[in-house]
Amino acid sequence: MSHNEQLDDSTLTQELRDSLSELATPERPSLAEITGRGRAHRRRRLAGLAGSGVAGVAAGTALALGLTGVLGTATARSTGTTGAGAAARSTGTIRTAAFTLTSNANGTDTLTLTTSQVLDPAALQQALTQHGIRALVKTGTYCWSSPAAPDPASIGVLSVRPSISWPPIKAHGLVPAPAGSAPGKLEQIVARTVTVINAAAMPSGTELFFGYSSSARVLFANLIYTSSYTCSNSYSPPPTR
Amino acid sequence: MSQDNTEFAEFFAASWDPCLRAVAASAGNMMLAEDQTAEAFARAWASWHKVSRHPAPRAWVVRTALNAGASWWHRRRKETALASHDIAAAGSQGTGLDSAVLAALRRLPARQREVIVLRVFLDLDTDTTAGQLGIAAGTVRAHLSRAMTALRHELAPATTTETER
Repeated sequence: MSHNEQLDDSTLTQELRDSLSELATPERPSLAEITGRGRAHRRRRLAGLAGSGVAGVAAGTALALGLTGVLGTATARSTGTTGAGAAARSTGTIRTAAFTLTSNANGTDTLTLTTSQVLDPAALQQALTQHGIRALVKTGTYCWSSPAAPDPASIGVLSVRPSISWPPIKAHGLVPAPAGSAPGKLEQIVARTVTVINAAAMPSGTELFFGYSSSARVLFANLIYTSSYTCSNSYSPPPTR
Repeated sequence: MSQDNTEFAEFFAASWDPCLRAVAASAGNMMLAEDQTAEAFARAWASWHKVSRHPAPRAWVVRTALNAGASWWHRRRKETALASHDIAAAGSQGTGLDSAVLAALRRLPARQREVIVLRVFLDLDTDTTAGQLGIAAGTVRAHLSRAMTALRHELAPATTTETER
């Protein structure tokens, strides 16, 4: 490298460092917030959620910003005993103004919505993540895979009681999912339903998608393939070919 | 507070800012970088016994943050709606991330950008950078040379135009 190039490199290096030092940065989070997230990470690891599931979870949690306080009860969840053999799940509840997510002793989770509050998708996503459930939660958006992933109800991933008949609630202007590009039906979760999620029954490479309609206070659910799905902010069917 | 927790607390206090800046410069979005960096420090705390013995803990944090970001953006590219562009734009406004220098940095190939982040921003030596990236020291030097040449080429036209008047 010539002397001039070395000088240029020095100048360029300094310019890079100067640009970095001029960045406006937000306030540093508290140590408690970091260690709280770290404990959640340790719990997932201890619960045997290593591998691709955790990688997907990590991507999902990047969407969930600043949820300390909302998930205060989650940090009180015990890790239970791991012992020899398979990791045992311990019961725990995440409760927010809009929903409650409870771990059951048999390895499933129960989701209930309250009637009065609009659901925060980031809070639900974080809660599902902490319970080891691979999921994507959005508001005003519907996501699907083509070809479609299996119907979560028929393979035991979701059980919604009472079951709300398909098609979706038309009173709120919602129409069925695009024909041919989605499962034959979507699970609809409203305040009066009890939803049991069996994450262990989810096929490899899939995750639950929850699309929330704040106007209808309805949570639509289906399975999507993590590596291949499409989302739209319109529930209208696509143009006919 | 245990010794491990004390050590982590000190590491976190001293390293948050430089790590966040390095992640933000590479990611181009301060909001995203903030969350990725927080997640990376959380994982560092969860694995502090291992991370504290790492030859370059700050590099571990930055790489963990950037890897989390890669997964996030891979998912976002598959979505056809929502205000993803608005989110990306909002995350860089007013933060200085849109400077010509940093914009040029983000146009570099990923590996060259990684080398710049570790060698220049985190001030690691060539051998430590090579160990971090799992490549030979000579390859680090080659990537750095190409990166600097590319950046020089990108940033030079504005100044050369003025000197020609």
